[in-house]
Amino acid sequence: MTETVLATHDLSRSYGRSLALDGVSLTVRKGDIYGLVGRNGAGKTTLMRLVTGQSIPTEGALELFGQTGRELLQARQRTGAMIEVPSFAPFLTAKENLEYYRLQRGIPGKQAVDEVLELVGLRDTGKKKFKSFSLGMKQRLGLALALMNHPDFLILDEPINGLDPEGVAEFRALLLRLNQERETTILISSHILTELSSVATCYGFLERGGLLEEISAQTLHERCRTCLRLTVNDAAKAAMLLQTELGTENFEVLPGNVIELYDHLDRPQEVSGALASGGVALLGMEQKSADLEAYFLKLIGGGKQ
Amino acid sequence: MRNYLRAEFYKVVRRKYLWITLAVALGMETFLFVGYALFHGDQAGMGFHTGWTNLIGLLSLGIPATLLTGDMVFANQNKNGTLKNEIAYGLSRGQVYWGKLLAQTGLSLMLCGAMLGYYLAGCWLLLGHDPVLDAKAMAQVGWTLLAALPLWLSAQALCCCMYFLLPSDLAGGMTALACLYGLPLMALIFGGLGGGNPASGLLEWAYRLMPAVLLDEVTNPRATWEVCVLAWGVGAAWWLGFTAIGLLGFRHKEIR
Repeated sequence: MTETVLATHDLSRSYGRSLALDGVSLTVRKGDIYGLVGRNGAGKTTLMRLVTGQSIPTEGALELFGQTGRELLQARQRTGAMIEVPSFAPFLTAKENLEYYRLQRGIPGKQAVDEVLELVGLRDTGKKKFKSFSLGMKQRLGLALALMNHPDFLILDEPINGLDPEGVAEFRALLLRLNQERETTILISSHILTELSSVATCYGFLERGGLLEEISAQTLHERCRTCLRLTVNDAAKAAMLLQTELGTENFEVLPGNVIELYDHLDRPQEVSGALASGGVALLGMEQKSADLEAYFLKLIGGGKQ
Repeated sequence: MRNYLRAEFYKVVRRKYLWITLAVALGMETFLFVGYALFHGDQAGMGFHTGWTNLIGLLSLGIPATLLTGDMVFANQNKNGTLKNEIAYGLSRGQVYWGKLLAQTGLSLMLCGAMLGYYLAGCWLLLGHDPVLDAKAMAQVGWTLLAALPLWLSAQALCCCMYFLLPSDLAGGMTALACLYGLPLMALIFGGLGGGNPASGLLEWAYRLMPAVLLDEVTNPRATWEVCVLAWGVGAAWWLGFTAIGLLGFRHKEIR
Protein backbone atom coordinates (compact mmCIF):
# COMPACT_ATOMS: atom_id res chain seq x y z
CA MET A 1 0.00 0.00 0.00
CA THR A 2 1.29 3.47 -0.89
CA GLU A 3 2.58 5.49 2.05
CA THR A 4 0.36 8.32 3.18
CA VAL A 5 2.27 11.58 3.34
CA LEU A 6 -0.51 13.83 4.55
CA ALA A 7 -3.86 12.92 6.04
CA THR A 8 -6.24 15.41 7.57
CA HIS A 9 -9.15 14.30 9.71
CA ASP A 10 -12.13 16.67 10.01
CA LEU A 11 -9.74 19.58 10.04
CA SER A 12 -11.41 22.89 10.84
CA ARG A 13 -10.22 26.40 11.41
CA SER A 14 -12.42 29.31 12.33
CA TYR A 15 -11.66 32.99 12.84
CA GLY A 16 -14.28 34.37 15.16
CA ARG A 17 -17.60 33.37 13.61
CA SER A 18 -16.14 32.82 10.19
CA LEU A 19 -15.32 29.22 9.34
CA ALA A 20 -12.32 29.21 7.02
CA LEU A 21 -12.01 25.43 6.88
CA ASP A 22 -14.85 23.10 7.70
CA GLY A 23 -14.12 19.48 8.59
CA VAL A 24 -11.75 18.70 5.74
CA SER A 25 -10.52 15.11 5.47
CA LEU A 26 -8.11 14.52 2.63
CA THR A 27 -5.27 12.19 1.87
CA VAL A 28 -2.08 12.84 -0.08
CA ARG A 29 -0.11 9.73 -0.92
CA LYS A 30 3.57 9.36 -1.66
CA GLY A 31 4.37 10.37 -5.23
CA ASP A 32 1.18 12.36 -5.72
CA ILE A 33 1.09 15.80 -7.22
CA TYR A 34 -2.04 16.89 -5.45
CA GLY A 35 -3.77 19.91 -6.96
CA LEU A 36 -5.90 21.99 -4.62
CA VAL A 37 -8.62 23.73 -6.58
CA GLY A 38 -10.95 26.36 -5.21
CA ARG A 39 -12.08 29.93 -5.50
CA ASN A 40 -10.53 32.76 -3.49
CA GLY A 41 -11.42 32.20 0.15
CA ALA A 42 -12.29 28.53 -0.42
CA GLY A 43 -9.76 27.48 2.23
CA LYS A 44 -6.75 26.37 0.17
CA THR A 45 -4.24 28.65 1.89
CA THR A 46 -5.80 28.02 5.31
CA LEU A 47 -5.34 24.29 4.79
CA MET A 48 -1.70 24.76 3.79
CA ARG A 49 -1.08 27.07 6.74
CA LEU A 50 -2.45 24.40 9.08
CA VAL A 51 -0.22 21.77 7.53
CA THR A 52 2.86 23.98 7.95
CA GLY A 53 2.00 24.93 11.54
CA GLN A 54 1.47 28.62 10.83
CA SER A 55 -2.07 28.28 12.05
CA ILE A 56 -3.54 26.04 14.72
CA PRO A 57 -6.65 23.92 14.00
CA THR A 58 -9.77 24.70 15.98
CA GLU A 59 -10.90 21.10 15.49
CA GLY A 60 -9.66 17.93 13.88
CA ALA A 61 -6.20 16.55 13.41
CA LEU A 62 -3.54 16.10 10.80
CA GLU A 63 -0.89 13.48 10.19
CA LEU A 64 2.30 14.15 8.32
CA PHE A 65 4.33 11.08 7.37
CA GLY A 66 2.20 9.24 9.93
CA GLN A 67 3.24 11.60 12.74
CA THR A 68 0.93 13.65 14.91
CA GLY A 69 1.21 15.96 17.95
CA ARG A 70 4.75 16.97 18.94
CA GLU A 71 6.17 14.55 16.36
CA LEU A 72 4.77 16.82 13.65
CA LEU A 73 7.71 19.16 14.21
CA GLN A 74 10.12 16.41 13.13
CA ALA A 75 7.91 15.49 10.20
CA ARG A 76 7.82 19.13 9.03
CA GLN A 77 11.59 19.01 8.60
CA ARG A 78 10.96 16.66 5.68
CA THR A 79 8.83 19.30 3.98
CA GLY A 80 9.49 22.44 1.98
CA ALA A 81 6.85 25.12 1.77
CA MET A 82 6.04 28.30 -0.03
CA ILE A 83 2.80 29.77 1.31
CA GLU A 84 1.34 33.03 0.03
CA VAL A 85 4.00 35.61 -0.91
CA PRO A 86 7.65 34.59 -0.47
CA SER A 87 9.05 36.48 2.52
CA PHE A 88 12.67 37.18 3.30
CA ALA A 89 14.79 39.73 5.13
CA PRO A 90 14.70 42.75 2.78
CA PHE A 91 18.21 43.90 3.69
CA LEU A 92 19.92 40.64 2.68
CA THR A 93 20.79 39.29 -0.77
CA ALA A 94 19.37 36.04 -2.14
CA LYS A 95 22.48 34.14 -1.10
CA GLU A 96 22.61 35.70 2.37
CA ASN A 97 18.94 34.96 2.97
CA LEU A 98 19.39 31.32 2.06
CA GLU A 99 22.61 31.07 4.06
CA TYR A 100 20.71 32.37 7.09
CA TYR A 101 18.14 29.58 6.78
CA ARG A 102 20.82 26.99 5.98
CA LEU A 103 22.60 27.84 9.24
CA GLN A 104 19.34 27.91 11.16
CA ARG A 105 18.30 24.51 9.84
CA GLY A 106 21.73 22.98 10.25
CA ILE A 107 21.93 21.94 6.59
CA PRO A 108 25.53 20.83 6.01
CA GLY A 109 27.69 22.31 3.24
CA LYS A 110 27.72 25.90 2.01
CA GLN A 111 27.35 24.61 -1.56
CA ALA A 112 23.70 23.75 -0.79
CA VAL A 113 22.89 27.43 -1.24
CA ASP A 114 24.69 27.80 -4.59
CA GLU A 115 23.16 24.58 -5.90
CA VAL A 116 19.62 25.61 -5.14
CA LEU A 117 20.16 29.15 -6.49
CA GLU A 118 21.45 27.59 -9.69
CA LEU A 119 18.40 25.33 -9.83
CA VAL A 120 15.96 28.24 -9.70
CA GLY A 121 18.01 30.54 -11.92
CA LEU A 122 19.06 33.08 -9.30
CA ARG A 123 22.80 32.39 -9.32
CA ASP A 124 23.70 35.79 -10.77
CA THR A 125 21.78 38.18 -8.56
CA GLY A 126 25.02 39.25 -6.83
CA LYS A 127 24.65 41.98 -4.24
CA LYS A 128 21.09 42.84 -5.12
CA LYS A 129 19.00 42.94 -1.93
CA PHE A 130 15.72 41.06 -1.63
CA LYS A 131 13.82 44.36 -1.34
CA SER A 132 14.85 45.19 -4.93
CA PHE A 133 13.73 41.85 -6.38
CA SER A 134 10.91 41.58 -8.92
CA LEU A 135 7.90 39.42 -8.03
CA GLY A 136 9.22 36.64 -10.25
CA MET A 137 12.62 36.70 -8.55
CA LYS A 138 10.93 36.60 -5.15
CA GLN A 139 8.93 33.56 -6.25
CA ARG A 140 12.10 31.84 -7.41
CA LEU A 141 13.83 32.55 -4.11
CA GLY A 142 10.80 31.23 -2.22
CA LEU A 143 11.01 28.06 -4.27
CA ALA A 144 14.77 27.83 -3.61
CA LEU A 145 14.15 27.92 0.13
CA ALA A 146 11.44 25.28 -0.17
CA LEU A 147 13.86 23.01 -2.05
CA MET A 148 17.04 23.64 -0.08
CA ASN A 149 16.58 20.75 2.37
CA HIS A 150 15.68 18.25 -0.39
CA PRO A 151 12.14 17.80 0.94
CA ASP A 152 10.09 14.65 0.57
CA PHE A 153 6.94 16.76 0.54
CA LEU A 154 6.58 20.15 -1.14
CA ILE A 155 3.73 22.49 -0.24
CA LEU A 156 3.27 25.25 -2.80
CA ASP A 157 0.62 27.92 -2.68
CA GLU A 158 0.16 29.74 -5.99
CA PRO A 159 3.80 29.15 -6.89
CA ILE A 160 3.70 30.50 -10.44
CA ASN A 161 2.34 33.94 -9.55
CA GLY A 162 4.60 36.53 -11.09
CA LEU A 163 6.65 34.09 -13.17
CA ASP A 164 7.18 34.89 -16.86
CA PRO A 165 6.12 32.27 -19.44
CA GLU A 166 9.64 30.86 -19.58
CA GLY A 167 9.70 30.69 -15.79
CA VAL A 168 6.35 28.89 -15.76
CA ALA A 169 7.61 26.28 -18.22
CA GLU A 170 10.84 25.80 -16.23
CA PHE A 171 8.87 25.53 -13.03
CA ARG A 172 6.54 22.92 -14.51
CA ALA A 173 9.50 20.87 -15.75
CA LEU A 174 11.20 21.18 -12.35
CA LEU A 175 8.13 19.92 -10.50
CA LEU A 176 7.76 16.96 -12.80
CA ARG A 177 11.47 16.17 -12.49
CA LEU A 178 11.37 16.32 -8.69
CA ASN A 179 8.30 14.14 -8.66
CA GLN A 180 9.68 11.56 -11.05
CA GLU A 181 13.35 11.47 -10.06
CA ARG A 182 13.18 12.10 -6.31
CA GLU A 183 9.63 10.87 -5.74
CA THR A 184 8.84 14.21 -4.13
CA THR A 185 5.20 14.44 -3.17
CA ILE A 186 3.68 17.82 -3.97
CA LEU A 187 0.64 19.68 -2.69
CA ILE A 188 0.02 22.62 -4.97
CA SER A 189 -2.66 25.23 -5.42
CA SER A 190 -3.01 27.51 -8.39
CA HIS A 191 -5.65 29.69 -9.94
CA ILE A 192 -4.25 28.84 -13.34
CA LEU A 193 -6.09 25.56 -13.77
CA THR A 194 -4.55 24.75 -17.14
CA GLU A 195 -1.13 24.78 -15.46
CA LEU A 196 -2.41 22.70 -12.59
CA SER A 197 -3.91 20.15 -14.93
CA SER A 198 -0.58 19.78 -16.72
CA VAL A 199 1.14 18.46 -13.59
CA ALA A 200 -1.43 17.19 -11.06
CA THR A 201 -2.04 13.49 -10.58
CA CYS A 202 -5.00 14.01 -8.27
CA TYR A 203 -7.23 16.84 -7.18
CA GLY A 204 -9.09 18.10 -4.16
CA PHE A 205 -11.88 20.60 -4.81
CA LEU A 206 -12.54 23.05 -2.00
CA GLU A 207 -15.52 25.33 -1.71
CA ARG A 208 -16.48 27.54 1.25
CA GLY A 209 -14.01 25.75 3.51
CA GLY A 210 -15.32 22.26 2.71
CA LEU A 211 -13.85 19.52 0.55
CA LEU A 212 -16.33 18.83 -2.25
CA GLU A 213 -14.50 16.00 -3.92
CA GLU A 214 -11.16 14.23 -4.14
CA ILE A 215 -10.43 12.50 -7.42
CA SER A 216 -7.50 11.19 -9.40
CA ALA A 217 -6.43 12.88 -12.62
CA GLN A 218 -7.43 9.71 -14.48
CA THR A 219 -10.96 9.81 -13.12
CA LEU A 220 -11.17 13.49 -13.89
CA HIS A 221 -9.98 12.82 -17.41
CA GLU A 222 -12.68 10.18 -17.84
CA ARG A 223 -15.30 12.53 -16.52
CA CYS A 224 -14.14 15.37 -18.72
CA ARG A 225 -13.73 13.33 -21.86
CA THR A 226 -15.06 14.62 -25.10
CA CYS A 227 -18.42 13.30 -26.28
CA LEU A 228 -21.03 13.74 -28.94
CA ARG A 229 -24.16 15.20 -27.39
CA LEU A 230 -27.17 13.95 -29.31
CA THR A 231 -30.68 15.32 -28.90
CA VAL A 232 -33.26 12.92 -30.35
CA ASN A 233 -37.01 12.42 -30.37
CA ASP A 234 -36.82 8.93 -28.78
CA ALA A 235 -33.82 8.27 -26.55
CA ALA A 236 -34.69 4.63 -25.77
CA LYS A 237 -34.92 3.69 -29.42
CA ALA A 238 -31.78 5.69 -30.22
CA ALA A 239 -29.87 3.85 -27.50
CA MET A 240 -30.93 0.53 -28.96
CA LEU A 241 -29.81 1.62 -32.43
CA LEU A 242 -26.42 2.74 -31.14
CA GLN A 243 -25.95 -0.73 -29.68
CA THR A 244 -27.18 -2.69 -32.68
CA GLU A 245 -26.06 -0.52 -35.61
CA LEU A 246 -22.79 0.93 -34.22
CA GLY A 247 -22.00 -1.82 -31.74
CA THR A 248 -21.24 0.59 -28.87
CA GLU A 249 -22.36 0.80 -25.28
CA ASN A 250 -20.07 3.69 -24.53
CA PHE A 251 -22.81 6.26 -24.01
CA GLU A 252 -25.02 7.72 -21.33
CA VAL A 253 -28.72 8.48 -21.61
CA LEU A 254 -29.59 11.75 -19.92
CA PRO A 255 -32.96 13.31 -19.17
CA GLY A 256 -34.63 15.26 -21.97
CA ASN A 257 -33.94 12.71 -24.74
CA VAL A 258 -30.26 13.52 -24.65
CA ILE A 259 -27.54 10.96 -25.20
CA GLU A 260 -23.83 11.54 -24.61
CA LEU A 261 -21.81 9.24 -26.86
CA TYR A 262 -18.13 8.81 -25.94
CA ASP A 263 -16.88 7.18 -29.15
CA HIS A 264 -17.39 7.65 -32.90
CA LEU A 265 -16.28 11.23 -32.24
CA ASP A 266 -14.69 11.55 -35.66
CA ARG A 267 -17.55 9.79 -37.49
CA PRO A 268 -20.68 11.83 -36.77
CA GLN A 269 -22.19 10.94 -40.17
CA GLU A 270 -22.19 7.23 -39.20
CA VAL A 271 -24.05 8.11 -36.03
CA SER A 272 -26.66 10.19 -37.82
CA GLY A 273 -27.03 7.47 -40.50
CA ALA A 274 -27.58 4.76 -37.89
CA LEU A 275 -30.24 6.78 -36.11
CA ALA A 276 -31.96 7.73 -39.37
CA SER A 277 -32.02 4.09 -40.47
CA GLY A 278 -34.06 3.24 -37.38
CA GLY A 279 -36.45 6.14 -37.85
CA VAL A 280 -35.08 8.26 -35.00
CA ALA A 281 -35.09 11.98 -35.64
CA LEU A 282 -31.82 13.65 -34.75
CA LEU A 283 -32.77 17.07 -33.43
CA GLY A 284 -29.28 18.18 -32.55
CA MET A 285 -25.70 17.01 -32.43
CA GLU A 286 -22.74 18.82 -30.89
CA GLN A 287 -19.32 17.92 -29.73
CA LYS A 288 -18.80 18.48 -26.04
CA SER A 289 -15.63 18.57 -24.02
CA ALA A 290 -14.79 19.74 -20.55
CA ASP A 291 -11.54 20.77 -18.97
CA LEU A 292 -10.55 21.12 -15.32
CA GLU A 293 -12.02 24.60 -15.22
CA ALA A 294 -15.36 23.53 -16.63
CA TYR A 295 -15.46 20.54 -14.31
CA PHE A 296 -14.71 22.75 -11.31
CA LEU A 297 -17.35 25.30 -12.29
CA LYS A 298 -19.89 22.53 -12.73
CA LEU A 299 -18.95 21.08 -9.37
CA ILE A 300 -19.39 24.32 -7.48
CA GLY A 301 -22.45 25.28 -9.51
CA GLY A 302 -20.62 28.28 -10.94
CA GLY A 303 -21.31 27.20 -14.49
CA LYS A 304 -24.74 28.77 -14.25
CA GLN A 305 -23.28 32.15 -13.40
CA MET B 1 19.72 26.23 19.51
CA ARG B 2 23.38 26.62 18.52
CA ASN B 3 22.38 26.63 14.85
CA TYR B 4 19.63 29.10 15.55
CA LEU B 5 21.96 31.53 17.33
CA ARG B 6 24.61 31.20 14.62
CA ALA B 7 21.99 32.13 12.04
CA GLU B 8 20.74 35.10 14.05
CA PHE B 9 24.25 36.49 14.44
CA TYR B 10 24.97 35.84 10.75
CA LYS B 11 21.96 38.01 9.96
CA VAL B 12 22.50 40.75 12.51
CA VAL B 13 26.13 41.45 11.60
CA ARG B 14 24.96 42.07 8.04
CA ARG B 15 22.74 44.93 9.14
CA LYS B 16 24.27 48.36 8.48
CA TYR B 17 22.01 49.63 11.22
CA LEU B 18 24.07 47.69 13.82
CA TRP B 19 27.37 49.18 12.70
CA ILE B 20 25.98 52.70 12.36
CA THR B 21 24.50 52.53 15.87
CA LEU B 22 27.76 51.21 17.29
CA ALA B 23 29.78 53.85 15.44
CA VAL B 24 27.55 56.64 16.77
CA ALA B 25 27.80 55.30 20.34
CA LEU B 26 31.57 54.93 20.17
CA GLY B 27 31.85 58.37 18.55
CA MET B 28 29.95 59.92 21.46
CA GLU B 29 32.16 58.12 23.94
CA THR B 30 35.24 59.39 22.10
CA PHE B 31 33.81 62.88 22.29
CA LEU B 32 33.48 62.43 26.06
CA PHE B 33 36.90 61.08 26.97
CA VAL B 34 38.77 63.24 24.47
CA GLY B 35 36.81 66.21 25.78
CA TYR B 36 37.81 65.34 29.36
CA ALA B 37 41.43 65.00 28.33
CA LEU B 38 41.57 68.20 26.26
CA PHE B 39 39.51 70.58 28.35
CA HIS B 40 39.66 69.24 31.90
CA GLY B 41 42.87 67.21 31.94
CA ASP B 42 44.75 69.96 33.76
CA GLN B 43 42.06 70.44 36.43
CA ALA B 44 42.60 69.04 39.89
CA GLY B 45 40.48 65.92 40.50
CA MET B 46 39.87 65.24 36.80
CA GLY B 47 41.53 61.91 36.23
CA PHE B 48 40.61 58.41 35.16
CA HIS B 49 38.47 57.88 38.25
CA THR B 50 36.24 60.86 37.41
CA GLY B 51 35.94 60.05 33.73
CA TRP B 52 35.17 56.43 34.47
CA THR B 53 32.57 57.11 37.19
CA ASN B 54 30.90 59.67 34.93
CA LEU B 55 29.83 56.64 32.92
CA ILE B 56 27.34 55.75 35.66
CA GLY B 57 25.15 58.67 34.63
CA LEU B 58 24.84 57.14 31.16
CA LEU B 59 23.78 53.68 32.27
CA SER B 60 20.09 54.58 32.25
CA LEU B 61 20.41 54.64 28.43
CA GLY B 62 20.72 50.86 28.65
CA ILE B 63 16.93 50.54 28.90
CA PRO B 64 15.95 52.37 25.69
CA ALA B 65 18.94 50.71 23.97
CA THR B 66 17.18 47.34 24.35
CA LEU B 67 14.59 48.57 21.84
CA LEU B 68 17.35 48.88 19.27
CA THR B 69 19.07 45.58 20.00
CA GLY B 70 15.69 43.83 20.02
CA ASP B 71 14.84 45.31 16.65
CA MET B 72 18.27 44.51 15.19
CA VAL B 73 17.68 40.82 15.86
CA PHE B 74 13.93 40.58 15.34
CA ALA B 75 14.24 42.59 12.13
CA ASN B 76 10.51 43.29 11.78
CA GLN B 77 9.79 39.61 11.15
CA ASN B 78 6.06 39.98 11.76
CA LYS B 79 5.76 42.74 9.16
CA ASN B 80 8.12 41.02 6.73
CA GLY B 81 6.30 37.71 7.19
CA THR B 82 9.50 35.73 7.67
CA LEU B 83 8.53 33.84 10.83
CA LYS B 84 6.56 31.44 8.63
CA ASN B 85 9.83 30.21 7.07
CA GLU B 86 10.98 29.10 10.52
CA ILE B 87 7.71 27.59 11.74
CA ALA B 88 6.95 25.78 8.47
CA TYR B 89 10.31 24.02 8.69
CA GLY B 90 9.34 22.44 12.01
CA LEU B 91 11.12 24.68 14.50
CA SER B 92 8.99 24.81 17.60
CA ARG B 93 7.53 28.15 18.57
CA GLY B 94 9.34 27.91 21.90
CA GLN B 95 12.64 27.37 20.12
CA VAL B 96 12.03 30.39 17.90
CA TYR B 97 11.10 32.59 20.87
CA TRP B 98 14.02 31.52 23.06
CA GLY B 99 16.38 31.77 20.10
CA LYS B 100 15.44 35.39 19.44
CA LEU B 101 15.49 36.33 23.12
CA LEU B 102 18.92 34.77 23.62
CA ALA B 103 20.25 36.41 20.47
CA GLN B 104 18.90 39.81 21.54
CA THR B 105 20.39 39.40 25.01
CA GLY B 106 23.70 38.19 23.63
CA LEU B 107 23.87 41.11 21.20
CA SER B 108 23.03 43.59 23.96
CA LEU B 109 25.74 42.20 26.21
CA MET B 110 28.30 42.20 23.40
CA LEU B 111 27.53 45.79 22.44
CA CYS B 112 27.56 46.79 26.09
CA GLY B 113 30.92 45.08 26.52
CA ALA B 114 32.33 46.77 23.42
CA MET B 115 31.16 50.22 24.52
CA LEU B 116 32.35 49.80 28.10
CA GLY B 117 35.68 48.39 26.96
CA TYR B 118 36.21 51.24 24.50
CA TYR B 119 35.30 53.91 27.06
CA LEU B 120 37.48 52.27 29.69
CA ALA B 121 40.44 52.10 27.30
CA GLY B 122 39.95 55.73 26.22
CA CYS B 123 39.76 57.02 29.77
CA TRP B 124 42.63 54.81 30.86
CA LEU B 125 44.92 56.01 28.11
CA LEU B 126 44.06 59.71 28.11
CA LEU B 127 43.37 60.57 31.73
CA GLY B 128 45.63 60.73 34.77
CA HIS B 129 45.76 57.96 37.36
CA ASP B 130 45.61 57.68 41.13
CA PRO B 131 45.78 54.01 42.17
CA VAL B 132 43.51 54.40 45.20
CA LEU B 133 40.86 56.50 43.47
CA ASP B 134 41.05 54.34 40.33
CA ALA B 135 40.35 51.20 42.34
CA LYS B 136 37.43 52.92 44.05
CA ALA B 137 36.02 54.05 40.69
CA MET B 138 36.33 50.56 39.24
CA ALA B 139 34.50 49.10 42.22
CA GLN B 140 31.77 51.72 42.04
CA VAL B 141 31.14 51.23 38.31
CA GLY B 142 31.30 47.45 38.76
CA TRP B 143 28.74 47.58 41.54
CA THR B 144 26.40 49.77 39.47
CA LEU B 145 26.73 47.50 36.45
CA LEU B 146 25.90 44.50 38.62
CA ALA B 147 22.74 46.19 39.89
CA ALA B 148 21.75 47.59 36.47
CA LEU B 149 22.18 44.30 34.60
CA PRO B 150 18.90 42.60 35.70
CA LEU B 151 16.96 45.77 34.89
CA TRP B 152 18.40 45.91 31.37
CA LEU B 153 17.67 42.22 30.88
CA SER B 154 14.08 42.70 32.01
CA ALA B 155 13.68 45.54 29.49
CA GLN B 156 15.10 43.24 26.82
CA ALA B 157 12.55 40.54 27.70
CA LEU B 158 9.75 43.11 27.51
CA CYS B 159 10.90 44.33 24.07
CA CYS B 160 11.21 40.76 22.79
CA CYS B 161 7.67 40.01 23.98
CA MET B 162 6.27 43.11 22.27
CA TYR B 163 8.12 42.49 19.00
CA PHE B 164 6.74 38.95 18.88
CA LEU B 165 3.17 39.79 19.76
CA LEU B 166 2.56 43.06 17.92
CA PRO B 167 2.25 43.39 14.16
CA SER B 168 5.37 45.49 13.57
CA ASP B 169 8.57 46.47 15.34
CA LEU B 170 7.38 50.08 15.41
CA ALA B 171 4.20 49.10 17.28
CA GLY B 172 6.18 46.73 19.52
CA GLY B 173 8.81 49.36 20.27
CA MET B 174 6.24 52.06 21.05
CA THR B 175 4.34 49.71 23.37
CA ALA B 176 7.54 48.67 25.12
CA LEU B 177 8.45 52.34 25.59
CA ALA B 178 4.98 53.02 26.98
CA CYS B 179 5.42 50.17 29.47
CA LEU B 180 8.91 51.24 30.49
CA TYR B 181 8.34 54.98 30.81
CA GLY B 182 4.58 55.54 30.54
CA LEU B 183 3.59 53.18 33.36
CA PRO B 184 5.90 54.80 35.95
CA LEU B 185 4.63 58.21 34.91
CA MET B 186 1.02 57.09 35.30
CA ALA B 187 1.78 55.46 38.66
CA LEU B 188 3.43 58.67 39.80
CA ILE B 189 0.60 60.92 38.63
CA PHE B 190 -2.29 58.78 39.89
CA GLY B 191 -0.42 57.85 43.08
CA GLY B 192 0.11 61.53 43.81
CA LEU B 193 -3.53 62.34 43.08
CA GLY B 194 -4.80 59.72 45.51
CA GLY B 195 -3.99 61.74 48.63
CA GLY B 196 -2.91 58.88 50.85
CA ASN B 197 -5.68 56.36 50.16
CA PRO B 198 -4.74 52.64 49.84
CA ALA B 199 -4.83 52.69 46.01
CA SER B 200 -2.48 55.63 45.97
CA GLY B 201 -0.11 53.80 48.33
CA LEU B 202 -0.20 50.80 46.04
CA LEU B 203 0.62 52.94 43.02
CA GLU B 204 3.49 54.60 44.82
CA TRP B 205 4.79 51.14 45.73
CA ALA B 206 4.35 49.98 42.11
CA TYR B 207 6.21 53.09 40.91
CA ARG B 208 9.31 51.97 42.79
CA LEU B 209 9.15 48.56 41.13
CA MET B 210 9.45 49.88 37.57
CA PRO B 211 12.83 49.06 35.96
CA ALA B 212 13.39 52.60 34.66
CA VAL B 213 12.73 54.09 38.12
CA LEU B 214 14.85 51.52 39.88
CA LEU B 215 17.69 52.11 37.44
CA ASP B 216 17.78 55.75 38.53
CA GLU B 217 18.08 54.57 42.13
CA VAL B 218 20.79 52.12 41.22
CA THR B 219 22.89 54.82 39.55
CA ASN B 220 22.71 57.00 42.66
CA PRO B 221 26.15 56.93 44.33
CA ARG B 222 24.45 56.43 47.69
CA ALA B 223 22.60 53.27 46.58
CA THR B 224 22.86 50.37 49.01
CA TRP B 225 23.05 46.61 48.63
CA GLU B 226 19.32 46.48 49.40
CA VAL B 227 18.73 48.41 46.19
CA CYS B 228 20.90 45.95 44.31
CA VAL B 229 18.91 43.00 45.71
CA LEU B 230 15.66 44.79 44.89
CA ALA B 231 16.91 45.41 41.33
CA TRP B 232 17.62 41.71 40.88
CA GLY B 233 14.21 40.77 42.31
CA VAL B 234 12.32 43.27 40.17
CA GLY B 235 14.40 42.43 37.11
CA ALA B 236 13.73 38.72 37.55
CA ALA B 237 9.99 39.28 38.05
CA TRP B 238 9.66 41.48 34.95
CA TRP B 239 11.81 39.13 32.92
CA LEU B 240 9.81 36.06 33.95
CA GLY B 241 6.47 37.83 33.53
CA PHE B 242 7.09 39.18 30.04
CA THR B 243 8.84 36.02 28.86
CA ALA B 244 5.84 33.98 30.00
CA ILE B 245 3.41 36.38 28.29
CA GLY B 246 5.50 36.33 25.12
CA LEU B 247 5.78 32.54 25.02
CA LEU B 248 2.08 31.98 25.70
CA GLY B 249 1.00 34.65 23.24
CA PHE B 250 3.31 33.39 20.53
CA ARG B 251 2.18 29.80 21.03
CA HIS B 252 -1.31 30.73 19.85
CA LYS B 253 -0.36 33.44 17.38
CA GLU B 254 -1.37 33.14 13.74
CA ILE B 255 1.83 33.36 11.71
CA ARG B 256 1.41 35.39 8.52
